[in-house]
Amino acid sequence: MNNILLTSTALADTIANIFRGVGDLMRGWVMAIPMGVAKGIFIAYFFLLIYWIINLPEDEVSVALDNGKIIKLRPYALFSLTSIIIIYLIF
Amino acid sequence: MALGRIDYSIIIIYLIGTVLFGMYIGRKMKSGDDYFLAGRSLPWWAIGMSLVVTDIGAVDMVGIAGAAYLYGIVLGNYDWLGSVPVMIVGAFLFIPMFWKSKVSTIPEWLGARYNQSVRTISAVIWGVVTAFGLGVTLYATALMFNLLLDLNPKILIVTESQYVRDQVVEATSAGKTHDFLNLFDYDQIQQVIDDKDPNLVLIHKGFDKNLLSNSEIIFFDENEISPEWGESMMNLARPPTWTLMYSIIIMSILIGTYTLFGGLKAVVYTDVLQCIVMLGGSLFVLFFGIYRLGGISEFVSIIRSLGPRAQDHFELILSVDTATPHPWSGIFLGLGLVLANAYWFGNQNMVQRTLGARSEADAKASYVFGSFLKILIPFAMVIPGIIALAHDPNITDADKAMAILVKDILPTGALGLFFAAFLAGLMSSVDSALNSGATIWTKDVYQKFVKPDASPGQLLIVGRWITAAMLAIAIFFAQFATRFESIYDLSQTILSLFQGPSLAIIAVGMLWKRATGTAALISLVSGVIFAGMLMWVNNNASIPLFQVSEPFLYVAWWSFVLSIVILIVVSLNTSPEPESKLKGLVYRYE
Repeated sequence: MNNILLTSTALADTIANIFRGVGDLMRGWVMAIPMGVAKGIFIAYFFLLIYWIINLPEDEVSVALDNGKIIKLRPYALFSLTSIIIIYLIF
Repeated sequence: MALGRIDYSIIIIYLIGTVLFGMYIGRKMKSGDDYFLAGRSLPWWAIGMSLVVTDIGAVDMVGIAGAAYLYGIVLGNYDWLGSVPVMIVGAFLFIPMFWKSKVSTIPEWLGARYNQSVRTISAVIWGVVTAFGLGVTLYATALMFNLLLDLNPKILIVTESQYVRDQVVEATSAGKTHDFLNLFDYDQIQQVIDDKDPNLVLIHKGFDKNLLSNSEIIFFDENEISPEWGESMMNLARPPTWTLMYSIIIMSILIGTYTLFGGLKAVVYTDVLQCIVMLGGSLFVLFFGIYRLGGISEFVSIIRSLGPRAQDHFELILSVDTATPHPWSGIFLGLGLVLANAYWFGNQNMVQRTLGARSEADAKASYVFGSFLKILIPFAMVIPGIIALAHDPNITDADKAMAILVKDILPTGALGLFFAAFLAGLMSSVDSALNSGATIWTKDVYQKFVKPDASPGQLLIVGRWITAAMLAIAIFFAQFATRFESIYDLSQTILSLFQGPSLAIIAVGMLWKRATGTAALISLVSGVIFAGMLMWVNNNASIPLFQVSEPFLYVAWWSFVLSIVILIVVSLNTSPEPESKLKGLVYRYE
């Protein structure tokens, strides 16, 4: 049993060492990003989605229900995303 | 505050009422389509509320509030980043595509887009993951059931040292199965014993033994504490009259009854009821909890006064080297770009409701409405977890934080109503997993391999049998869930193995018509193996591969990246799928 455990640890260590070099390099890059910029990445992502929503064709964001009533979903989607941006700016 | 007779009456009436309501809703069930997709009759508002309440089921109520108790508002990312933007994308891109293809399951869509091998592998993996995940959810539900109704056996630890108390909790390994009563004042021992009737009383040195004479009382010295000592102490404890397994079985019977009879329609409409009461109740706890602490500024200053353990409790974005499992890089890449997308449009549990929508418009609107409600969830679940920390910083098991807070601050009557809603909310995640798992096993396995010409009536019967079987499997798995520290982390770890590769083949398949079936198959299998390998290496290497304690976010991200690369490379080297096959299955390709 001990031999199996030792072998599995050795195998895991070998594989881990292969990834660790690349992982440490990438971790170094990410660590170098200031927290303010990190927050900016989150907010930029939300703005990107807002841009996408604004540019969607009207027929994809307006829907007709069974009773014939048309609902425009774009304003609701934009409201949700804007609220999230405000929350990320606060916290 | 203990539950009074009126509280218990409300809870019992609510639970029985939910079961009867679910059975009433499903009384006209005639076919498999009625059972699995509610006869494609669901309106957007019901689906939207059902999506939200399913997502804030047992795992969130127990796990998110517990994790927020430990790590703070960073858990809000799971809704604000992990739900709201993703649901918007889903509403306009993925959900209408699924709905228009008229499939019953995501594996069925994968079969139509790629080939039957992808469908089968995907179905089997999802079926197994759902059954196991159901066990975890059921365990979490029973845990809350025990805690709310005060059914757990109790261990009283009397010591003046917090360090000694923590060591005892760890040594006995009973944090999940027992409630620990902590007493720092020796003068109150007899009163607590008389009031709470603990199964075991452990008294630290320094107390005059002659003052008490009870055979269940054990005096100890901190030098004795070890896992072996903890085990021997647990053997001396009076056997519990009620165990977690009893609660698991009771919850299974309640949930199984209305899910078995009412199918998806019962699941969705009971969810609507639960959503209203749960959101109302949770927001009440938020405001009442802050009021009891003395207002927002007092709340914030209490948390700040807790020192290093709570210094980041109001930070949504934590540094890469944080000691928590939630570094911003993992949150953004693993959660925001992979797990959240995989969950909201790659998870049968969630997507199935929209497949049962009465129109494409309802399917789209349900996700937008859901995203709207999701903005509120961290206020209802995460911040109460932080309030629980301000209320009592000494809770030994963080997963119990929300229940303890609610029990301590709400008055009789309101307590019963809130607990009933709380339990009903917990039930919603179990019923959804049960129904979606049964749909996959019935449509993608039974109908495909066993009886392709099964009639709608036969599918209904088989679906119900499979629902019962899944519940039995879940009960079996539920007992193993106690071994993991945090329920939420466990469920995310399981999902992260499969979600990344699964999302890769769904997203690329829907957005890129050149993606081929052979490439999807290779991509899916290698992605899952790679994710499993990363997890195995991380757990077995001398130095863990990842520097966060629960690396599920990174595992999901890297398995997603690898699957995408393999999918693209292999697709470009295999023959394209026939164009006629792709119409209606690829975005803007009609």
